[in-house]
Amino acid sequence: MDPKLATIYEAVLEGDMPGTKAGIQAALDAGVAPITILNDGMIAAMAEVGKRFEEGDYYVPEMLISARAMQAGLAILKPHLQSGGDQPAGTVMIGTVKGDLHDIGKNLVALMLEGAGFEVRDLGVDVSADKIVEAIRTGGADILALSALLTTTMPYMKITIEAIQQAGLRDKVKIMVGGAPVTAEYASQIGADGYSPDASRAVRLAHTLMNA
Amino acid sequence: MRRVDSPKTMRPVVMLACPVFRAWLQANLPNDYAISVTFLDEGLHARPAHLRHAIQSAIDRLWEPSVVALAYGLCGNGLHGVRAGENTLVIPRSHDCIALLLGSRAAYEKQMAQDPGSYFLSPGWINSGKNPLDEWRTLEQRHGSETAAWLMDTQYQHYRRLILVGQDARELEAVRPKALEIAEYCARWGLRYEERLGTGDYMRRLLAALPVITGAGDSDANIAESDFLIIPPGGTVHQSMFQS
Repeated sequence: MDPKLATIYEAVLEGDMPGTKAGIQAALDAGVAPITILNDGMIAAMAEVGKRFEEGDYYVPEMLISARAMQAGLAILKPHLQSGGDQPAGTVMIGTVKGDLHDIGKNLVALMLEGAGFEVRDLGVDVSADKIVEAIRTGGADILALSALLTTTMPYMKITIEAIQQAGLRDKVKIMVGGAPVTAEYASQIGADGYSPDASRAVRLAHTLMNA
Repeated sequence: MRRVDSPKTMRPVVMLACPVFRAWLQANLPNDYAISVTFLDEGLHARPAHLRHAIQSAIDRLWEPSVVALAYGLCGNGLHGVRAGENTLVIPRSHDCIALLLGSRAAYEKQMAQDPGSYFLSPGWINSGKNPLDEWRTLEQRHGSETAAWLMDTQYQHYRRLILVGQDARELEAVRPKALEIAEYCARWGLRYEERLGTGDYMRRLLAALPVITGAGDSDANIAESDFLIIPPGGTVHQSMFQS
């Protein structure tokens, strides 16, 4: 790996916000392509963070600190990424389902999608099916991303998808789901279009859904 | 409800428990049949992979096929993937320990329906330092006060109430000073402090299920499927089994 990219990768992994910002600036100054900085430096580091969390080597705070460094870095990188006048990769509405206030995973997915060039509309936490149906009706998005952390709130994903169907809006959005108790099996059971076990794979899934 | 077929030979009964239940178990373990209780480390649920590993190692170390009661819920997916080996596992179908502390899944769901922004405290969590105030102190030492404050806000800002669950008035009284100190700290997010008396009913049902499975108890007795998972020898725990 290019030493400039390695510096960024390490800084994001360690949650070093000033280091991430300085590393990105140095890479930009040296003429490294912004998309390479994003993919090989920052997103690769967050994928490693996700892996460490899954394996129990990172706690929630370490993951959050890395996400914060990534976010600060994106603020510097974004103007350069968009200088080509590219269209967004797609639009995503995202929220945690009714009864669930846990938004760390949801925010991480939103951040990663933004980084990957998606336009993200954050519906927040504890979002009712009615509110989601309304949001699809007024404005909408290419993709709806739903999150639940509790086994007790996960069934509300099914209720939400049913409400979207009943409103006759199911063909207006692709639906992706995630969160600790959610599985690929459950996602297909409730008629979602996709499931992702973590934030970096959620980006890949969103791209796949856009091309489906 | 399901009928449990008892094996011909009686298997030993082992319980692997979270230390959050230590006090209750010490006071309430039945003395009419033998059960050996092992407490695993505290706070393993914050690192689910470590919880899974700790439980699996404890199961794999058993020297003869046993009935293993787990005083745990799904606990952040910590139990997902645990293999029974030659043993039979009995597990409360609970998202985490809160339903066990309150006495039933219904009691937990009632509290969450009243306010999804409920953060529960138990004497076990308070005494082991697994609570927002002690977490703040640890994070402040590790990351400095600015980052620690940001981390705490990020994790706790959506909660609206702090509920101390105790098994009796004496237990509540014993931890109340520390609970109030935690509540004072959490007031920064507008959390209000409440107390609830839990019951040991769910844990009692878990203990009552064990002799049925070993064959020591009434073989006609049934175990409520809505309350417990029974993983037969060779089986594996899957998170989908915990769904309502």
